[in-house]
Amino acid sequence: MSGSGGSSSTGTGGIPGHSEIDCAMIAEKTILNSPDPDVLKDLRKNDVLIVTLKVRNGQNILVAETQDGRTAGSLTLPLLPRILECMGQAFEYVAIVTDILGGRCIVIIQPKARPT
Amino acid sequence: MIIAGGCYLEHCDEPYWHELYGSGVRAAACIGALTKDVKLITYACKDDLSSLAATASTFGFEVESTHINHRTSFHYTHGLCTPLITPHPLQIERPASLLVNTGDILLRFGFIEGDAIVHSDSVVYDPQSAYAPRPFWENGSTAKRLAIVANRAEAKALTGCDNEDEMLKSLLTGKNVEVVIIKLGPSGALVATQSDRVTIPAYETDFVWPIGSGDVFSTFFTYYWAEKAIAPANAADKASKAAAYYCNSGALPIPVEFETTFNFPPVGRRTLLSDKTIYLAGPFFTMAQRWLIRESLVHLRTPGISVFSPFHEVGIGTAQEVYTPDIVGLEKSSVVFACLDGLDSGTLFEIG
Repeated sequence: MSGSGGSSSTGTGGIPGHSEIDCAMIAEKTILNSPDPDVLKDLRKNDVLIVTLKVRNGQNILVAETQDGRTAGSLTLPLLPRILECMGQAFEYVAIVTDILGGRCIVIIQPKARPT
Repeated sequence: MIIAGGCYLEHCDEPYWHELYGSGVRAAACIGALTKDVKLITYACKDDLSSLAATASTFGFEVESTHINHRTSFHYTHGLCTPLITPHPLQIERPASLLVNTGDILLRFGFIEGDAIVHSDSVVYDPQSAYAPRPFWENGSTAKRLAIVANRAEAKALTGCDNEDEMLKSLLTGKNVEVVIIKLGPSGALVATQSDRVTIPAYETDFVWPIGSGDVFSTFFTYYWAEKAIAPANAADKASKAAAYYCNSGALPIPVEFETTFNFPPVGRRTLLSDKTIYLAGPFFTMAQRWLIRESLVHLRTPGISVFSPFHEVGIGTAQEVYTPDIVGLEKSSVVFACLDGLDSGTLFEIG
């Protein structure tokens, strides 16, 4: 899409029905919340973080981890419930660092690979 | 702390942002590292319930939501613009008001789609509407001690006054009002009690992500003033620092150590360019270029900066017609702000 700097799954509109979004087509830009400053200082543009499921207070949450297992921050994008569903279907996701400006780290979440 | 505030979809084209926040969700998310037992009372579109639940789990707050059928969205072209709200606020079907009766500390925001009638001991009220902010008591709300946090436009609309001293004086006459804060953007904020008036600074950050900074300010003021019993001016200064921290990163929650690691200087007179004029250079041949010039003009003037815009003050004409008045404007200016778009020869000449 010409001029599209953001999500291919949501365009510029709202949040489509979760079940309408193909797990393999998710490409969602979001900010890294609760960023760990010690981890953030080691991150560079195009670094690949692993999107990992954690359980907090009995609820599933998503975090982005470095390849050596350090938690860079948490993910709270509107598509989070659909991503959780897709991960339940064996899809794996990565968070690619697109921008680091001060304490602001932007990532784009996309599938690591299709499940076999 | 109980927070009554909205849950809205926020979209910004540049820089890109597409998140489910709104004042209520952001407030609950931002304070989670400093205090536990945060409860958000809000309306939530049924399509957003799972997203809201996931956000609450991530940030560790409790949600009590009244389900509604529509989602309210705020669409920003850029971070400083006035958002396009959809559906239009006049077309939103308004649900019944939320009722909150608590002895807890309470932060009440204004809602787009509804209202919250609150009864509590210590309340901070942020009306959150530049067009039609409503007085705290109008819907029957009560507080034993009340702080009002408003930006200048809201304070003007609430009081009908043009002068900030008169705004403060008028708002302080409200029942049980102990503190009034008028936020002035980069000029900081005025903090007034019945016996004292001080100005606290805004802080100069490396980056500025403005959407939601006021939510963070009100939340941290509530925490320090109502929960920690810190004096209003000091609480407001800490809130200003928290807002600056958020502006710099856009990330939530604000970490516990934000004050000890805080190293941003107060916005000073030099930074504000208060005694200088900016020359707004840039081509204005196309509608898109004229839009950019207009947006630049509006948002440079909003904090009180003097701007000379050749497009707006001289207009379109032949070179013979516009050269002299443009150059007079350029020579009277101290700073050139250039919108570079292609290799427009006029702009290149103006920036030297």
